Amino acid sequence: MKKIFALLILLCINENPGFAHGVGFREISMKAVALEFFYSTGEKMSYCDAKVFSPNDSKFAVQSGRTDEQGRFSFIPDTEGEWKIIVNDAQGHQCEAKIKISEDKIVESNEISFENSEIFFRALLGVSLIFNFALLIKIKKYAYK
Amino acid sequence: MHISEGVLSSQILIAGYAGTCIGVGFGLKKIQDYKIVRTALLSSAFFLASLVNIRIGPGSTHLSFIAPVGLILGWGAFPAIFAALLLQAILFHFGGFFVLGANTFTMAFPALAVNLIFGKIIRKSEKKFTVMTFSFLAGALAVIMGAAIAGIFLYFHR
Repeated sequence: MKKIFALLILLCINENPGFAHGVGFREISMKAVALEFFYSTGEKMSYCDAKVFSPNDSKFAVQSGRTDEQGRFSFIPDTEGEWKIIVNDAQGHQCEAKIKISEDKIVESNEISFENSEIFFRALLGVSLIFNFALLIKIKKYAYK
Repeated sequence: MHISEGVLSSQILIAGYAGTCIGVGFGLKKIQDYKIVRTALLSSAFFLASLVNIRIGPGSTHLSFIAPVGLILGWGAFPAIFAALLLQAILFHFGGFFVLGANTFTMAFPALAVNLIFGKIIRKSEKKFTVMTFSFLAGALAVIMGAAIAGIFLYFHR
């Protein structure tokens, strides 16, 4: 009888957070870092996997989730240093954003953005370079003859 | 179909570069003098095609030009696509340098394959309908093969 009583007491003190803890929320006023991810064609990287790595641990993500419809993702950095955010669309595209945080603000980032006019000039430069390669190969072939 | 930097494992990156080196080597060796300008022209078209976006319903896609490059150039598709992808990586940040080998192989191998499968039929045929049908099939097969190779590469991701 004593053994059964002891067992009952043990069962009663078994910790189960589901029974004992309530949940709540409150508004906070910490500064979040919000980033927008996009393809170089201008299309947004919507609903893609996003992982945040703190300056202290580059192996395990401190936060993971998905970008929203507009390709946006935000997090709240709690230490100074270089934070890494990796967004992957699981179809071979991955964007790695590195931002340096100091005193609650971004001091440096590897931001990439394209203007339309810049794309045009880059495209022109690319075509010109391809024809220059071709010219070089042609000259080399003639030189060997 | 560009695979980004940091997605694939180092073994796949090396295998991609190995396949691409063989293809580019063969392509440069086999290229005839009068085909060099043609190769540059198609390489430029391939380079620019990725910038042309076509909206399909809620999403969008871009032109690939894999089959035309392959059908016209044959082995020359390897150097043409390599040059185009190298410049896309430098100028537009499509893909990257480490993954350039895998990306070139993903697109140049289907190009060469459709040339070997449909090239002779298309060149010899005199009927317009036959040429159009086989060209359409070549284009579809090239895209499917490219997606399949990219899928296999991604299966072995880090």
